[in-house]
Amino acid sequence: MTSETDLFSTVDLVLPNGTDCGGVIADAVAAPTWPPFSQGAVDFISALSNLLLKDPRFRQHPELVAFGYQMRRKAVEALAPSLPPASAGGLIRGRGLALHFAPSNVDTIFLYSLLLSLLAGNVSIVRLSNKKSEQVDLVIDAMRSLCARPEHASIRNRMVLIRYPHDQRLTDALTALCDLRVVWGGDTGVSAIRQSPLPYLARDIVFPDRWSMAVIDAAAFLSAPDISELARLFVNDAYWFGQMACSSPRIIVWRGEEAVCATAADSMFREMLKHAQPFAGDLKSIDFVNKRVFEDSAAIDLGAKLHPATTNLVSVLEVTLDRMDPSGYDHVGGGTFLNGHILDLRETAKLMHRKLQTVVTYGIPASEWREYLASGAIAGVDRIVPLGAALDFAAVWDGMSLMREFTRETTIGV
Amino acid sequence: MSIFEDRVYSLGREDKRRLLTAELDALTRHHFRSCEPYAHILRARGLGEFAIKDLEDVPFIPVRLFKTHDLSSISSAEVAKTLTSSGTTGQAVSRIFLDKETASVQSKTLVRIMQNFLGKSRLPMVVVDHPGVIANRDAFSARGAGIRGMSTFGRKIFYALRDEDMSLDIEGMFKFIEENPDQPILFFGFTFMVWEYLLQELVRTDRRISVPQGILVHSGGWKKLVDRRVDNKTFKEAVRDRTDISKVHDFYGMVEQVGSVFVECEAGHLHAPAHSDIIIRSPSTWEALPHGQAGVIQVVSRLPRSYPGHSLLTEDEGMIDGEDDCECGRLGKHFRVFGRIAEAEARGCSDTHSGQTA
Repeated sequence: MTSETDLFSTVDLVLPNGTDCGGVIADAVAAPTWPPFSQGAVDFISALSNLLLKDPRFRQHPELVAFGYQMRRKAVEALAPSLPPASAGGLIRGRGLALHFAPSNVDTIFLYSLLLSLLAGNVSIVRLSNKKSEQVDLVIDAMRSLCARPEHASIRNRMVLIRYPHDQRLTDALTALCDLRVVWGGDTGVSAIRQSPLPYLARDIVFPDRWSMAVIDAAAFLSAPDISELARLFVNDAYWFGQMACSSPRIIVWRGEEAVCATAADSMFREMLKHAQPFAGDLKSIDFVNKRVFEDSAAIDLGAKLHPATTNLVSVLEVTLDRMDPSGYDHVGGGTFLNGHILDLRETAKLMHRKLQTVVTYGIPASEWREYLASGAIAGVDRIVPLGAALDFAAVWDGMSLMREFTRETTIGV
Repeated sequence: MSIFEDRVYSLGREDKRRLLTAELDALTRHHFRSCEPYAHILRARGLGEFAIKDLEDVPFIPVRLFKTHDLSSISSAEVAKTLTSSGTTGQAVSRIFLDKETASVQSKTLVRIMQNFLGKSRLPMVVVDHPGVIANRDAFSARGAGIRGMSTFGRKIFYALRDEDMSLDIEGMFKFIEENPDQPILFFGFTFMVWEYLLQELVRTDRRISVPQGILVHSGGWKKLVDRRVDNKTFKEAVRDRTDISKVHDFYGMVEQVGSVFVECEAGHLHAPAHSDIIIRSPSTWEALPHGQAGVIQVVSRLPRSYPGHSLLTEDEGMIDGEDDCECGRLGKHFRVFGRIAEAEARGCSDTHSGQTA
């Protein structure tokens, strides 16, 4: 134990405040597992949600406000029916100690991971990204002040936030303590963390590299009452987080007659240019150079042609569907799109392989998607969402109901 | 002798634009015909049949493409040598394919340009590097190639650093200076090497050399020196203080455009010779910017014929200070380079542990 304490002495303890990381972790290990949706967890989450929605400090961070809205008491309580025991008379409980590795690109992910885990009944240790951000600091500040209140005393030893530079021995030691390990951070992150052996009874929930696309019915798009609004929604899907989130669409496929698709694409890209202006400041010189390199490489390697509406902000490359697969090139983000068209949804079958996470769609009804998915033609797709909802995190992610994955069930047959 | 060779620094703005644009137009069409990947790039941008009227309309390609693609306008049988950029292990390197003609025109142009600063006779030369850097001829590294290129201007060559540990052979240098009295000696090295292994070593050992007629030519960029808060002024002061050399010429060039280099004049400005030019572009629009505005540097040169490198978008930032109006009397644009554009922060999902794994 002495050596373990020494090991933890290099860890930067973010929450709770203090220096005795070894002690805090020992307390967390000793904390009991709760059933899901216990009062202490729900109260804390709704208090945090209230703060995010009402405190003016968060107003300039719309993603935090959106997070607050998603985690309001009503919404959290509405998750409960989604977690019935699978067996008659069965009982659901948390898994125990959850160890989370947060990604650095999407600031709010660690919050979802942590709060859903808290809600599931687990005690959580979160290793935050070393890339600090104002948003993360603000939220942690809010969490600290809430934890200090007497009404939230019961959850104080159930959440530990730490930072440490990559250190295999530390990750080994922390992993050895956990019942559940949640790894965000794509293939690289998952490979790094998987170097640390998981206890036999523990389980891994990992979020490897994924990519996303849009599939839009051209005729429906053109007859929409407000095309500009659709473009605005799509810009929000694509331009937040530099278009580098797993859920950021990077491919647009139009369905319909070629000429109709061309008209739809043309109006989409022209409208997008207007709505993308507020994001122009996020792009640095290197991003524009990277986009230029990508465009020219795509011309050579993918036979791409630049769409006439292409600008430095909305970069569109016309590519045939068989060359769109992202495993064939490096995505550079910053508003770079491969654009193509189909007559029939089934032409996307090869492209929609296992790594395709989200399909943002317009004008193609749920029934058609259902039929397509049920046909067995495609291996991928974990989410089908309307324009504007690509980045909305949900309790079902990457094909998994996180509350279910974060809990275990005891069957009671007596 | 062509007008470009004859009037390296005396071709006025209007003439230069007209003549250089015509050459670049012809080169663009030549590479469009001869290099398929280059043709793909131009066609993707809607360019096919064209006649370029304006210097700023010459299409450019990112210099990084030479690291990811083999771009050549000659058959493999015609390749006389392949230049590669220096790169740390694991980094991609540029591969530049030269035929005899392009290689020879590059050397000749370099001579014409450097003679303007060094005079016509070959000089005793001190290379601020170790001899091993050029020993391996297979690896046409940028440092080795640069030294080999500059050696054309040297008569007797002394390497100032020892192979084993890069330590300064100061006794050897004293002897070399003594053996070549009362005449200019050419010092050449990479900017950082000159600073770290010559100047700093002289400071550390509290010694100095005196070569009042010396000329120091250096290149390679300021990145490492900026990190150490050393600017050109500090650098030149240290050179004068430790060596008595007052003629110091930085130059801006790259392996993708060897020959038509941009040399720093007595007034401290980098100059475009007749053979090449500089355009500053706004990264957010790629529009050419007026003089006095900072942006991404595009370099054009009439030399690259064996590979489509006549118009390149660099990854450096700079600014044009003026044209045909430098106090040194040379015509052409004069400009400064601020350095490499900043790397983007990693933002992908997979960056959580990047740089920390292993």
